[in-house]
Amino acid sequence: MNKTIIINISGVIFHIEEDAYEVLKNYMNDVKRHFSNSEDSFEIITDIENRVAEMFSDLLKKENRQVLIPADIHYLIERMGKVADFEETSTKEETYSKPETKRKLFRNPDDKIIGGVCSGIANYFDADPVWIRLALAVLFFIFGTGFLLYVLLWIIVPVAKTRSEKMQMKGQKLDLSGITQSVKEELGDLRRNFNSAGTLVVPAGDKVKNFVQELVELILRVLGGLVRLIAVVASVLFLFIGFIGIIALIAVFLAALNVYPSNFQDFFPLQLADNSLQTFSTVSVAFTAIIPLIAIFLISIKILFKNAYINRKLALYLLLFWIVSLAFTGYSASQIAKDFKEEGKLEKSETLLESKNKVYYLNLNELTPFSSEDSTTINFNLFGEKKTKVLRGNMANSDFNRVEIKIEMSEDNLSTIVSTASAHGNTLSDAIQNAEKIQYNYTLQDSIITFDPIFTFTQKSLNRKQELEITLKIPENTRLIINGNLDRYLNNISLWECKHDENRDFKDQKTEWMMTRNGLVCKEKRIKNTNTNTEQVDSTQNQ
Amino acid sequence: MIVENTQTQMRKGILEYCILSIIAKGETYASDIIGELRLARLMVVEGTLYPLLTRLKNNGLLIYNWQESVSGPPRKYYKLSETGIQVLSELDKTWTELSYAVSLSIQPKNNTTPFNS
Repeated sequence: MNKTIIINISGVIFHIEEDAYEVLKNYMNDVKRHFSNSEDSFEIITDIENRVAEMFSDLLKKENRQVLIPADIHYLIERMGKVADFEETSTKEETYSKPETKRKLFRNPDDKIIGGVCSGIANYFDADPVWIRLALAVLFFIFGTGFLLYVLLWIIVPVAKTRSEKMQMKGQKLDLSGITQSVKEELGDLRRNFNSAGTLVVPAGDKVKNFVQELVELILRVLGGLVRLIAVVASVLFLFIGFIGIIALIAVFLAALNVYPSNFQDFFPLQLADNSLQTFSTVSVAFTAIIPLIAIFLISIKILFKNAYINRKLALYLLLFWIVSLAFTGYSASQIAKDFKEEGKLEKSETLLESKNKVYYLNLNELTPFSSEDSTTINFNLFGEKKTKVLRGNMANSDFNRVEIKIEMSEDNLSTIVSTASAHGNTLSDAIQNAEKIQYNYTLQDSIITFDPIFTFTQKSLNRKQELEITLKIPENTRLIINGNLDRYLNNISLWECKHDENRDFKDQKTEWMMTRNGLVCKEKRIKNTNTNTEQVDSTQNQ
Repeated sequence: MIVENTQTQMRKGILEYCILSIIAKGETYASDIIGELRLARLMVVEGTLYPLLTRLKNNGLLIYNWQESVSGPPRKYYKLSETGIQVLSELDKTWTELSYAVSLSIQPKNNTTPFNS
């Protein structure tokens, strides 16, 4: 059983088997294509079709059949000849001898850098576009003539849109020699419309519109390219950041979980949570932080490599996991926050012996003995020279347990030191208990008061916003000689305002202050820059 | 290649003359022409004939009229136009000359007037 198709050849109806039809169709197309470059193609093809119809009729009548089969088509081709057989006696000579038609100036859309102007001109003069472009580029530097010329030509010269226009641009006669088979077919249609299309006058307005449109397209193309470039650069950057971030975070969190020895637990924010909560919160925080980095990493890969495939399920799991760890992080945070509900304060005061001449010397104890936990051993490599140095890392460098010193005028005639320890806790008693663990030392020796820079704890404590404030109350007209290294611990005055040697380390310089009704006042104010300048001038004059 | 090319050129040269001669015998249908040409081994496939006929007709050597056919569409029957008849008689003369030239050229050496004596 075979499917048949009904066809009409020169007005005669035939039934033809499907596969026979395919063969016939291809053959007829070949024939049409072959003759399409001839002036008389229509007539020739009609003649051939007539003959085909006749042959088929004869065949069917002779063999008393209704339907054309593939064998009939092969018989036809044998009789009529394959296209290759036509070549021999075809009108080859004629096509070869046909002269080139006159070239027309078009812009070439197939070989363009901006608007195809240069390429079009090159085609018109049968030159290499490179030379025209070079010439125009040179003209560009002569008062921009090249630019103006280019824009003008862009507006005036029409673009070669249709194939026939492109062929005219190249001076090809509108026949098919030298053009590939597929193009031939296309041309067959174009040719019929050619006369009207070729003489079609494009209104000037359209030309401008055309130009503007192309200009906009060009700008869009450039912008698009820029955006893509930025996206690529950004994603490379993010890829890098993501990668480094992931590695760093993993290292930090492994340290936090004490997988390898470190004193991470002593630092913020890990001192917030007690041991039971610490591991849990650390893990949840770790995932909360790392998952977005992984997402950035994956998205960057996706942008960089268009074909990269991100498993949707994996992405979904990551998202879910992130939400869960975010929730756990929130839970840990709320647990910790509970311990900050109440604030407790402990106040202790000590009256100082009255000093001679009403002078006190304030000093910082830089020789505070540190425990091994407080010091950090850093192994660093400097210019290839390996040095090992033990730094006396001091916790006062972080703001956590630094002491704050305030100096006030006392109401009576006594000098006192008030130390206030404060801490937070879930309940008031918890808070006070936490405050009680704060340990702070200062030493009194005659009129010399030496402060420790930091407070410590009597036992291991979590961070519960522990603070220690020292208030030194002195009567009016009491003088203070304050060492420079105390500057950063003093709350309400700046030692820098006092006169000091700018060339020497400020830490070792002493400044003199006096308590007045208006607060602590420097005995001798620092002379501002103007003065130091004149000093410098003086010194140069002396030289 | 050279042989083939020359053969093609020779065939091509006399093909139009032959077609005109065949048509000169009376009103002829294209497939009758191809029958004779095939017999003469001048042309094998029919497809080649149609462009030639059309060109001859467009050059004014042939005229045709349509005739109803018992099988299939109407047929084109060709005959020589006035010009065609004139051209053919010219060609007849040329052919006589050519055939003389050829027969002379291919005659065995001893029968020709000696050139080298």
